[in-house]
Amino acid sequence: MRWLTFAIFAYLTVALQIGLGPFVGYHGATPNLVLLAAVFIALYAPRDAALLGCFVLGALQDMVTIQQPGLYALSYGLVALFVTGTQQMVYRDHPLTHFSLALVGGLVTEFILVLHGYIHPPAARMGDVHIVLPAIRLSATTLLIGALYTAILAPIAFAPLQRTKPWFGFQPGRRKMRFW
Amino acid sequence: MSYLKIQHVFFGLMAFSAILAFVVPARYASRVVPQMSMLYAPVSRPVAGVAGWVSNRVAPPGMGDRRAAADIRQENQQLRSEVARLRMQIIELARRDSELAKLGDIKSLCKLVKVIGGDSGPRQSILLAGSSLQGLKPDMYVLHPGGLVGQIQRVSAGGAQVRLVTDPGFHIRIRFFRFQNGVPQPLPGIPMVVAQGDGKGSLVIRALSLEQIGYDPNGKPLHKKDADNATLVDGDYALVNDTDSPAALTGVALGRVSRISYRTDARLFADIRIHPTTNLEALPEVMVLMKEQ
Repeated sequence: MRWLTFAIFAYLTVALQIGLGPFVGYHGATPNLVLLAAVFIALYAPRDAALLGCFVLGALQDMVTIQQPGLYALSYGLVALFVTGTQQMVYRDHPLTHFSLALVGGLVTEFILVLHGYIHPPAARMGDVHIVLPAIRLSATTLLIGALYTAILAPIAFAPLQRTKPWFGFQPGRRKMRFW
Repeated sequence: MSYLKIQHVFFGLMAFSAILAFVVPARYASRVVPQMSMLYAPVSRPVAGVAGWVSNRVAPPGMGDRRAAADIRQENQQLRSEVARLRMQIIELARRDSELAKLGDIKSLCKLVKVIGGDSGPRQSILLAGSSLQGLKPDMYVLHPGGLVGQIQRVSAGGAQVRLVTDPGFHIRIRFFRFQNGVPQPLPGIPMVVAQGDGKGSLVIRALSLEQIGYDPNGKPLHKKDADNATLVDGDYALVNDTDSPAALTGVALGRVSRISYRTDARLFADIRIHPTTNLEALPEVMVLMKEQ
């Protein structure tokens, strides 16, 4: 995979997520464009490049959210592990594949975020006026809607992305990725 | 051999991420992450501008205020004249008293900073085109003309991130007011209380009983004629009144009461939602409170 193309792709994806996020939400749920990028890379890139590329996408997203650092890097790494394992078993260019993998990716990410929210809630239990207020956690329903929203956008987003595959220089899987 | 090394690198990074996400406390973990939000400004700001234009054409923001337009215009006029009157009084007092000369329009204490975009995840935050090089520091409060926006969460030479008031990690002490003849009147009997972000675009207050805000356990007002402003109703204002925050923030608007119900886990206690007057994630620019006084 050409890492310069990937770097530009990652930059544009994160910038679009930052810029569009507040305007395309539905009842608080926003689509995760970076997840779509991660699924695209994981689906078409060789396994080694896909694993590291998805991890990098997650790390970049961690830098522009006030969520605990490491959550998205971990999530997209797991997504990459799953998707690269299915590369040989699915029709990579089929819209249903894009939808399904994006949905699974969204559910994996949601699971990690909800799990973290239960262990370390954003608003811990606190006291006020002699009353103990329970913790406030992320809404699993909102995250689920966001995952569905992202999955619905996947076939639409992947259509133009598939035309850019030559720019990434995806090599067949039998070739090992080398940094030197 | 190289294949095995790449696998080790990947799983090592995954293990590091898992430890950073689930084990390391947030206040230490955030120090590891560099702030590079300004790098995305060349793309995200034009995109946000176009998206905002389309959004306003397709789905203009709702007023949320069901009063007649004439009533709203009249209240605006009254408020404008009241603000002007109070401002003149403050200027006059400042001129007379050398200590009071430090008071002034809150805008003079603030620095205007442009917004790059919103949070990339499910939390409520915005990214600023400002950095530590311009004097921004963590825990500085951020405002817009309509009220409080939030608090700077982290800042570096590469950018700054603001936790919005609607984020679950934000809380501040407030008091309820109601405007009568253009003058804000506190609601007697309703004490200062903590408002927390609910993560869904609003703030929530859960420490007041229904009786304290003027309702019986069935949700009916206790006072038929609310001449003493003892009953909290939709549209009442929540203004900052927190001794732990800078004095300049006292009286800054947080939002208006949008819904009053009871808590599902404690039916004698109220669940009060406060909605900011505007979509905080879509603000094009904000004011950072640089000086406390």
